[in-house]
Amino acid sequence: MRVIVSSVVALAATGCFYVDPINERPSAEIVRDNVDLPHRGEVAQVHARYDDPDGDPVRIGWSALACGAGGLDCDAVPFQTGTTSLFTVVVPYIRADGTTVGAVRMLLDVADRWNAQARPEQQLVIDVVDHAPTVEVQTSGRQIDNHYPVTVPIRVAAMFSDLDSGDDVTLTWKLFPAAGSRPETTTWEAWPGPPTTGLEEMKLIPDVGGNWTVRVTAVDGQGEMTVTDRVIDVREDAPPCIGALDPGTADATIIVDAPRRFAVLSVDDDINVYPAPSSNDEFLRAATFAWALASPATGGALEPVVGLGTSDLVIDPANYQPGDTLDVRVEIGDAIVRPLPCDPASPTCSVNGSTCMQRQTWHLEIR
Amino acid sequence: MSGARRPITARVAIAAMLLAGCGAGSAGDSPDASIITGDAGIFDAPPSCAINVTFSLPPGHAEPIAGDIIQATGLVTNGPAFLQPVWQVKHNGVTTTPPAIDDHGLVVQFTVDEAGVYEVVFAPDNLGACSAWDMPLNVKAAGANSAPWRLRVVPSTGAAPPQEQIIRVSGGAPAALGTIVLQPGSAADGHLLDGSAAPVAAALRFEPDATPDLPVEASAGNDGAFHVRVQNGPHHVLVVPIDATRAPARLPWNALTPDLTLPSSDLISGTVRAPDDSPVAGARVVLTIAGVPTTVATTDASGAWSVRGHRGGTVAVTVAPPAASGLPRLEVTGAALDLAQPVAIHYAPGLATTDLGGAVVRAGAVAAPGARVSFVGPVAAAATITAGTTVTAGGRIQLSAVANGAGVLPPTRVPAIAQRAVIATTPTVFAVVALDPTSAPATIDAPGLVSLTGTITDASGAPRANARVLVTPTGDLGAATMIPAAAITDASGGFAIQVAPGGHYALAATDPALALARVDRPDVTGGALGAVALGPALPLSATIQVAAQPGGLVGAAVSLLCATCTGVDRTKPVAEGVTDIAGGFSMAVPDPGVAPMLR
Repeated sequence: MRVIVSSVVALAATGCFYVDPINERPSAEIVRDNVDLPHRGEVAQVHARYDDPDGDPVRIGWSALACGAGGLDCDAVPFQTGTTSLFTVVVPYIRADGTTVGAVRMLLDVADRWNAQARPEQQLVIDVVDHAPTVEVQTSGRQIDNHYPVTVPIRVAAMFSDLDSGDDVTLTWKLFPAAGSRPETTTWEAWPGPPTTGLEEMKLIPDVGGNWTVRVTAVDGQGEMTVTDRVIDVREDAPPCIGALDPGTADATIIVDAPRRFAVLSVDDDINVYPAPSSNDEFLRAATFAWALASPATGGALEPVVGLGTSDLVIDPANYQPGDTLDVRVEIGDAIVRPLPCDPASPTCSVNGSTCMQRQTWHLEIR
Repeated sequence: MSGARRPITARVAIAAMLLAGCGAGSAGDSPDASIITGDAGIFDAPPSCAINVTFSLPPGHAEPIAGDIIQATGLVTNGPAFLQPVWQVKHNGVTTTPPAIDDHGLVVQFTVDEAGVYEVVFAPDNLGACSAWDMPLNVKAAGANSAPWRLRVVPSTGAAPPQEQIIRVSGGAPAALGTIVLQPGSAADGHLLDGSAAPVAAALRFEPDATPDLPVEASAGNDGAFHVRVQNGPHHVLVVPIDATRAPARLPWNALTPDLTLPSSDLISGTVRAPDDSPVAGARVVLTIAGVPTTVATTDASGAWSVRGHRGGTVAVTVAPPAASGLPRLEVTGAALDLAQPVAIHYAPGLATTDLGGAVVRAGAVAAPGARVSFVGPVAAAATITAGTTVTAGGRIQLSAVANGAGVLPPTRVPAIAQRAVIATTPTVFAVVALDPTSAPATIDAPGLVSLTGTITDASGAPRANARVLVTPTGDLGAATMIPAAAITDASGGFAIQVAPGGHYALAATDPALALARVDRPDVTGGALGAVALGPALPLSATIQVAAQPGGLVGAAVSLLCATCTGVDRTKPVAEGVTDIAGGFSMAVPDPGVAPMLR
């Protein structure tokens, strides 16, 4: 076209005038390649669509400015520049003044070889999306088969973060107790200890079995919110079970012709185990033992050995008459009072009719 | 070094681990030791493949000692043809790869700088069906003392019978016993018959010859049948027939020929006569011949008795007279009596009795209704026992009475000699007072409880808070009550326990954190005890398996017991543990220490 115009001018001026051709500006526009609004730290990509009426080659200049919300109040200095049609930027987290980036303003400058710049100036404001904070809730404690027994402290830890640097996150805790729980018998308080960045911990001591739900709401400075629920399976403390015994025989008469120790050597329980654990283990406590003895002095009736709470009892035949028969009984317990349902004459007993025994009786004969 | 090194095979090495660096050698030194073996690497592997590691120690060292240069040689039997061995030595959380000193990488050398447990891993990367060798290596402290203990394992299930072995704990460093493999023992079904093949019902006590401390009780029913699971090896069985006319016996036994035949017995008879030569009726008489009790007899109106037993061997005689007689219980042991002759038991003519009936039992000068008074004390030369020869029997006063609602004793006859009265004004409040009943006292006064105070410390003398202190009655008081008293130490390590005045106790203090070893004081009384130091302790760990069964043995009780004690002290553990879900356990055991300046 330009050549044709020049020829006409030349023809018209044959022998008389010459007209220098008029340069035209290039045209340009910014085209977004990804339509989703980027989060800070994510990529925003645009490219330049341009044309030069004169067919001149063009020079492309990109500038990306970090701005406040709505693309206002942008930094004076671009955080990234480019000279190719395709322009990809990683959205920064903070601006030069330390405030959070609210938008990115893309400036496109296209000029031809005569330095004629495309008009109007092309700008594109891309709003930046705030990251929601992340929060993960974990529990720890004396967990047995994926559940926790009642009355044992559970450490509930919320680990939180926000990808948007400098964005403060505030946690809100809410406890949804299991049915039947009462506040006065439940502990729900901050876990003692110095604060740790990105971590908050609570202590839960549930008072009833059931599903307890801990809801942690994390809110960042931009108002973005994340809600995380953690369901904690809490079960009633199972009855303790007699483990190893000495003597191990349940149904034989024990001949006692020398001092003999009768002992519960181990107790299996969620909490109240024996041998007594180290007291450094905050979750464990010792089992309890109640002994009873039947002898001629008691008329053959089992009478509690008041005050004897140890795991063993020694029978010295010297304290009895030769030929005396005795019954020695031990019943184990934990923090929960569970009356044994068995007949008192039953040598063994399980509170729930299982193989988990809480009573053992030995029959002795003194020689 | 290589030529002079003393090689120890893995089996011996593990034994050394089991012994926690004992100087005396292997588990085979003990008659108990054959029951539990510590061999694990070979046990785990299929029969077609085995990995073994041999250690060579510096000359003169039976076990690794801190500072030693250890040479380890791996051996794979029936394994892959081409191996690329990987060695690791782990200690205190640090893993090192020892350098190979041969072309094939089968021999490595490393230095054990300090005492403790080193974990040695030999894992050819082309294992095939083999298992890697991964075992602890206990390194003793130089100059370490060692102490023997009985390590007892009692499964909570019937997977294996209780077993124990002697271990030696070396001082100054933790010890790991590796894997302890229990033998499943033998299940035996047998019958107890008499000489005419008639079934006999009885109580049975199977005592392993190797570990008589670990009997297993069973019953033979009316059909004589019994079932028992016991350790392998020979046993002796104490048979006590239910029929009181049949004599007990102790019989050799093994599980391969489980039936037992009760031998015929001898009739042994005699009389019991009072100091005034009158017959003592209603006295219980039992003999123990060569350690086997006879039947129990009760004297008739003429003082006559007869028991059935098996003559032969030294004799112990126990006579428990009726309480109304006021006579002491007689006990004599080791007597060489001719039991083919009548056994004449005659209380010493000068032994008088007195009646304490009417005496008022008081506590704090106030009558104590319902108080129980036990009269105790020795009586020298209380009787003579004649059967071919005459022996003098010692006596022991063992009588009791309960005061009525006014605190007044009913008729209560006791020997008229100095003795002690153990007074229980309530089931848990006791006092022990001297009593001279030669003239019947009008009152028997129980003084108030007294304090037993002290301080529990560690070995350096620093007070130990929250320590548990348990005092168990012994002596006269122990004969009257088995109820201990307990306290927890305060922040300054102090404790105060109300105890019976005049009573003797055995004190045991334990550390709640299990970081220090239990301390025992066998005889304490009320008053200020001063400082009692808990001993230093070492961690001792191991894993329990049952041979030919996969995985660890869960829930087994593990006890550490005195190896040199006798009597009831032999039954009291100094440390206890229970195996976890992997069969592992850890306990704090007394540290025998390290002799200074030996290296």
